[in-house]
Amino acid sequence: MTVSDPQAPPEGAVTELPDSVEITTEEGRRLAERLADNRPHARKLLEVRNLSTQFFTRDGVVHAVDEVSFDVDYGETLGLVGESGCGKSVTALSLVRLVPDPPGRITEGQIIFDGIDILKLSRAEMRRLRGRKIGFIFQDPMTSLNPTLPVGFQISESARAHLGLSRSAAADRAVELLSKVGIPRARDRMGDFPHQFSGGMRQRVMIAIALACDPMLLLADEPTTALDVTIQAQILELIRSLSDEFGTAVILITHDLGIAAGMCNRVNVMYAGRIVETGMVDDVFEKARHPYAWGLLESLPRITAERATRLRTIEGLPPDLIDPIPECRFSPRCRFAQDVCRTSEPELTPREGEGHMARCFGTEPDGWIP
Amino acid sequence: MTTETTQTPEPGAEESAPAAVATPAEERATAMAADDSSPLVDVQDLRVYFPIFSGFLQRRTGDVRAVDDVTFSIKRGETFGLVGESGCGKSTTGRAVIRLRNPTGGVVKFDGRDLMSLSREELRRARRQMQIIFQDPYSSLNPRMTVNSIISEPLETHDLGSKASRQERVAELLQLVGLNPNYRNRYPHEFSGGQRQRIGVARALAVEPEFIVCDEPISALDVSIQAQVLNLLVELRERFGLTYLFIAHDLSVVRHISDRVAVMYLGKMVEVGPPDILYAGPGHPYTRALLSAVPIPDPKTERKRKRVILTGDVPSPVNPPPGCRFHTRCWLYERLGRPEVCRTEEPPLRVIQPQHQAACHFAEDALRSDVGVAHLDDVPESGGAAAAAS
Repeated sequence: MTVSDPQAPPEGAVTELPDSVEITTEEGRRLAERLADNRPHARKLLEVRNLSTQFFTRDGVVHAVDEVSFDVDYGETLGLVGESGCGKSVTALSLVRLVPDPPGRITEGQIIFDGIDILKLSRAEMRRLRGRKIGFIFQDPMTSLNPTLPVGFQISESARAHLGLSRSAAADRAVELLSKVGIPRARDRMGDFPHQFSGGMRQRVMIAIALACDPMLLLADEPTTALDVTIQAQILELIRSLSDEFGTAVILITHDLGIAAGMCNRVNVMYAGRIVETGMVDDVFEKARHPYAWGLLESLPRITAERATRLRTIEGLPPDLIDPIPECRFSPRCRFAQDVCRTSEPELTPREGEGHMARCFGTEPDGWIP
Repeated sequence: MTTETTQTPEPGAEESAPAAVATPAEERATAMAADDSSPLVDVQDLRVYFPIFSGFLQRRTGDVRAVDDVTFSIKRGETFGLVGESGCGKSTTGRAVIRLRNPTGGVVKFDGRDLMSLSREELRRARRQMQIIFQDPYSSLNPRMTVNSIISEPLETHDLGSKASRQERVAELLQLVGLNPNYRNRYPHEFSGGQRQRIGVARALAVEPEFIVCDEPISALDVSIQAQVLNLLVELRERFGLTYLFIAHDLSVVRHISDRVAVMYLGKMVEVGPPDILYAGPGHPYTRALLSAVPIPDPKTERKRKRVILTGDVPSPVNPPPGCRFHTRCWLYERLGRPEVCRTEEPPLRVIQPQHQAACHFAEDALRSDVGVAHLDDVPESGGAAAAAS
């Protein structure tokens, strides 16, 4: 890229305007009717039922997400927590049908967004939904921004495409968004390229793009993992205040339990492609009912703790997701496992607390773990 | 493969606690208790600048002042934690201390010897006492070398033992870090991140060093694996009387492992003290801001915390702000009505309490504030008082 790049790229750079998309499905027609406003049209903003996403690789079928079900209420913040490879990011990609295909494919399940079954939408119709009703923030703001286009263009692009704004109206909107996400001298910086911003500032630009069309749901996949702790605090605060202001629901994917504790209303703990525990944030953090969830919490060195000599650990490694074992997936690492855990897999069953569920034989009412 | 003289490991025991293997270094651990308190590592006014060349003639137009006049010492057997955000100079400090990076200025003494005055050959020999564990277990192991050759390489470099005894030593070391010695002929890609980091630890231990620089040894690992490696490092420290310079950006990890903690900001050391004192009542506004930014895995505490969110980014180390380098983002500076001294005079690192140093003109005001330590409400009062008294 050279410095002489034109500040305003050619008209053709805007991807095909989704408004001109031909409606081919029943769901697509309903989507078209609902695009204009953000009123709730269903009981839940998002209902995910038995979602399975698999990757067909040379080594075998990877069961990355395995029969996952959960809901997201309008305006709430839901955390998906777990370690790398547990399926949390693939879950998020599946929700917007962005799983790379091949090798990946959603093999089973239903995803109902605001009453619309999005797996029934055509590809073109799906594009109208993405960016318009669902915004994204990814982990690495350098690779998710286009390095060859000015940020102002990248922000106004989706407002022009989805909302049909004129170039100047979209530019005004971009300036407004940039100042909203805390970028000083927003109008002057419209023509700057991503490399001219620091990591935290790039993530702010990403947030501005995500919010450009006032979405109902924001998917934030490890939004602060690449950032320093003081910058992380800024970005989290920004996401929190903007989601409050616009009433946007957030699905926050993180491996950092501290972030989940501070940001979320509810959390899903994932392990080996499955949800192993779900509930209100206080229940899960204080009364965890799955040995993996409390093992993770115990293994953290705490800033509040006195200096200790030994941390509790979870021995062993997460399992391979090619041909996962048919029994409880955590049983090989679980210090409470009994014979039943090694022969069959437990269901997610209710525990004490609103919506609190865990997938563990040992903590069921007649279980052996107190 | 394994010689029968070493214990045969149980199958699948590769992640278990280190097995009992006797090493001469253990004697040092017991002897150390009687040792004097002279520092093992003594760093005076350490300075590392990276020149910037620019223009057609590639003239030197400035410096990145990565580490700027940093002074500290580490006692034998002590773990000295170094925290700060990326670009604050903590890793550069770690490397300069063992002369993996030549400092621009200052003195580093190791066990009384000035490392800067050593010739290449003398330095190579001195390195037997000091080793490093790197952050990224993927790039710090040569993918074309077997575990065996990775771990025995330092032994060869320092000409330790015969070929056969090196083989034995590798088996011993693998067992020590909790890996199955039968894996010695495998390549790094056959191991998980945590296991690779164990290989890196075994390599560092091979020459029985006294001092190990741990440069973010667990930040690339998953949460449940981090605790495993952290425990291993603590066990090895107790067993061999190791001295660590432990570099990390995670304040909770540093608190867990360190005897003393130093906080760096923009090439400067801004605060030093024992963790119990420093975390309970930091004397530098930056430390308070850092503490308040750390997410705590407890929803109730998170809700009632008092945060100071620093505005803006860390300024460039090419042209650091005059006076106190932190004043451009400092909440205390704003609260005190922007005193001129912060802009004009660089605050020295000074003693503000027994064992506790901070580099702030208004450290006493910082100490009195409750910013960043609201999480302590949950800690029983006796605990905090006892810690401060000790």
